[in-house]
Amino acid sequence: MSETTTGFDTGGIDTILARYDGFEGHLIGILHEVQKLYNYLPREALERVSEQTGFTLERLYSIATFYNFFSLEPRGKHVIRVCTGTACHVKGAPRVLQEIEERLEISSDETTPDGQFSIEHVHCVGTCSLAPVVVVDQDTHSHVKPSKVRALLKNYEDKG
Amino acid sequence: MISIQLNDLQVECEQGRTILEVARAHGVEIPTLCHHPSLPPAGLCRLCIVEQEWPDGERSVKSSCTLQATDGMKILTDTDRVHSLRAGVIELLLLRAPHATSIRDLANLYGVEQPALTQLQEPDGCVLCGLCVRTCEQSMAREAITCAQRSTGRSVATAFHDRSENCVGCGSCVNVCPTGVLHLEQQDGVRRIFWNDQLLNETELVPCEDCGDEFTTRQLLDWTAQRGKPNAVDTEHPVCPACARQRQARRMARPLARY
Ligand code: SF4
Ligand code: SF4
Ligand code: FES
Ligand code: FES
Repeated sequence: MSETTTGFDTGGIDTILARYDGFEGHLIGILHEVQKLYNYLPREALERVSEQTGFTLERLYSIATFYNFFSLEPRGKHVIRVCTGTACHVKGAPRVLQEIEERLEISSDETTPDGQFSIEHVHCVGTCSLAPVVVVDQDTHSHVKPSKVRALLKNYEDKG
Repeated sequence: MISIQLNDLQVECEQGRTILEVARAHGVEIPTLCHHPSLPPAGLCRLCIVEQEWPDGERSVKSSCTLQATDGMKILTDTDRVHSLRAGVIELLLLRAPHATSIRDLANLYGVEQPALTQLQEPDGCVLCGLCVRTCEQSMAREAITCAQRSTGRSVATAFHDRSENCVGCGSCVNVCPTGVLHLEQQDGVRRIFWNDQLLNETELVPCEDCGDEFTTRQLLDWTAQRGKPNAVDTEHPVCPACARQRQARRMARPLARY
């Protein structure tokens, strides 16, 4: 029923929107929930939100591209965020990032072909005393050394 | 009425006016880029900066387009500091839009030559003043273009860089753009609006019933009618402003002809 002409299922979006009475001031929260649903923000999803809320697609696009947190591209099951902020940089983040990229055979902002991992780099996650920091999904890994990367990734591979 | 000191002038103005408005009303030049009289001030470009002098002689730098005049205020628009700060702003603008006449004129006026900084990316000619986005949103109530991305990647764009379904082809954005990166082409009954070479949208031109001049677009006619604007052009029988005035004049002349 709640499908677009291209067969995109919008039921989940409609359920999310139904919980709001009035959308002004809630756009970021809404997009946040929609992203959780699909793991990224598909164009069709933004179109549905636009249709239902009356905000133009341009407004949504502007928000979705402004915040680092949102992604318009499909992301892996596990998102690896490597902090390359000042403290982490000094403590060797570039080498950690390089090691992760080499092991997964993708670059930053890319996703492995099997859809398991995406790599992103972020600027300071606010725990500089733990530098260098790598955040995978919700888990913060501290004092990461290139030599620890293999084990770290293995951990998530096993989780499937 | 309140009274402020503007350089050597003592001037009176209404409460709630901005320094920029007061200065312009008294012929005091202040350059602006992101300001437009029909839009709320944005304070984005920092070109309109002036110095405010406090009673103790301390001075602070403010953007005059957002600074409201208060009684007894002392404002200096032409100090060395103001001049050199503006020159710094112009240098950055020149990096973004080296070919725009408006920016080059400013650079000449402020003696800015080739910027000392090195270019990190190819200049796209847009100074990100936001006038187009704000006009589209606030005057036209369309929000058909927006500022996308952040930081150095920020640019004016439509959603997914596709044609914007919300653009009615009014051309307001083109009119306010100070650099000319937004432009408009009309051919074979179609109006196309571009940001650089990126097409924002195509709209259908509509001729005037009297003179045949293609003066507006179908989408714009429908939108103004929908907004219920007074003076909206008749969607069924569109007449351009010049011909509308002539019709009006003829209507007024008719009863006179009887005498
Ligand atoms: S031409 Fe389109 S993008 Fe430009 S102001 Fe009009 S509606 Fe907005
Ligand atoms: S396109 Fe023109 S009006 Fe819009 S932000 Fe760029 S320079 Fe300003
Ligand atoms: S720089 Fe990495 S956590 Fe602050
Ligand atoms: S004109 Fe005042 S900041 Fe741009």
